Amino acid sequence: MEDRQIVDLYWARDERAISESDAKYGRMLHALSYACLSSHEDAEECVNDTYLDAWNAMPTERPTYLGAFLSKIVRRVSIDRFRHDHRLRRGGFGSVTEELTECIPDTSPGPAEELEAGRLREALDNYLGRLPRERRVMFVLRYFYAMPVSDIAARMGLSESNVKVSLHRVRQGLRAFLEKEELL
Amino acid sequence: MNRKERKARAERLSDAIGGIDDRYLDEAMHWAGNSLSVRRRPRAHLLLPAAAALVLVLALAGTAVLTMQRKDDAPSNSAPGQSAGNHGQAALDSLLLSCTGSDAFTPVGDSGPDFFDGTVRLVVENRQTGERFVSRPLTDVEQRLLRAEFAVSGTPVDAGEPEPDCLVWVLLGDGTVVSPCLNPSAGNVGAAVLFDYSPERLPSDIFTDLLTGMQ
Repeated sequence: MEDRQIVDLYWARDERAISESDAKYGRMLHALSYACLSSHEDAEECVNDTYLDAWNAMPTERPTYLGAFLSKIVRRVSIDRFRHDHRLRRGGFGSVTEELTECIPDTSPGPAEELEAGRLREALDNYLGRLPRERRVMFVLRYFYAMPVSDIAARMGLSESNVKVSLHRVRQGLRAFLEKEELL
Repeated sequence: MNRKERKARAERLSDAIGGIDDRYLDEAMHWAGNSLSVRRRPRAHLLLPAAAALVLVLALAGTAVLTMQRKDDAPSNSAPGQSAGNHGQAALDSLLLSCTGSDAFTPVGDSGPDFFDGTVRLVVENRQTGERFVSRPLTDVEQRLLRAEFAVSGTPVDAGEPEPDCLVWVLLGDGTVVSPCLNPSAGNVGAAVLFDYSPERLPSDIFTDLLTGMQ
């Protein structure tokens, strides 16, 4: 079923919206949540919470990219749960956050708390828009979808070391960009 | 800045990444790129034995052909679709190539095949030309054959075996891609695409029967 048709079901308050969402994106959402939580049971609950959030958000929202819309919800829900449970498991989402510390400038212009999250998101979109498509995809797969480097390499037809080097350069580029924009 | 503070900021950055433009998420989710051309390369130290094996295979094949030519009235060519189990990778390549020329397959456009169209399809890549072809949705019978193929263990591909001319994948329609070894698994699931790089194997007669029926 097309995304638009599923969204119509949400708007019509038709419960098939959930089953259709699950049929189309359930596996992907579970994989994303599992990457954050390293627990199939927790991931299952987060995916169910995601459908509930989507149900409550539509209407009024009408996402163009339903997969991306649900991905954002499941990522947020999963990270919230991860932080709540303090499950800093090896190989879990902690390692992804750990890598992102490289993007934080040493000399920050001010407390990050004061910076608006919206401005940071805007800057990120701006930065990603300037990247070559392959590197942008790589960045999103790693830092949004929390996909292991080995999987990214397999998916993109590159060696693991190639992916690691590319991600390192993207992180360094993001760091320079954030410093220039005086963000974080 | 201490480590704790850096980590807190990294978490804020991670939160911001969670809000990036939907287009980028969709792009990554559906990104095909070179993903369908991945295949492990033979290790350098295996090249010599592989070359020797190839020479041996060619010599044996040549002898077999000469022997067959001497036989009276016997059909000199295999019937289309004879099993790869009997004839190996070369026969499978030939079968795949003839499939891509049939109405059942169409060239894959720049945007790549649709991973989420809810239908089970095959994708074939001609490694010589780089062209990819996607099949029409498989019928129920063909899907049953495919499931039967998944259920058999098959013959592992020898590490020294020359690389095939054609590669084939199965799109399950829910974002899952089953890799050339034709073994589905719960392996590396990420962004809805599954790749399984467990030891590759030659498809069985079941699979070649399926291809034969699609020609």
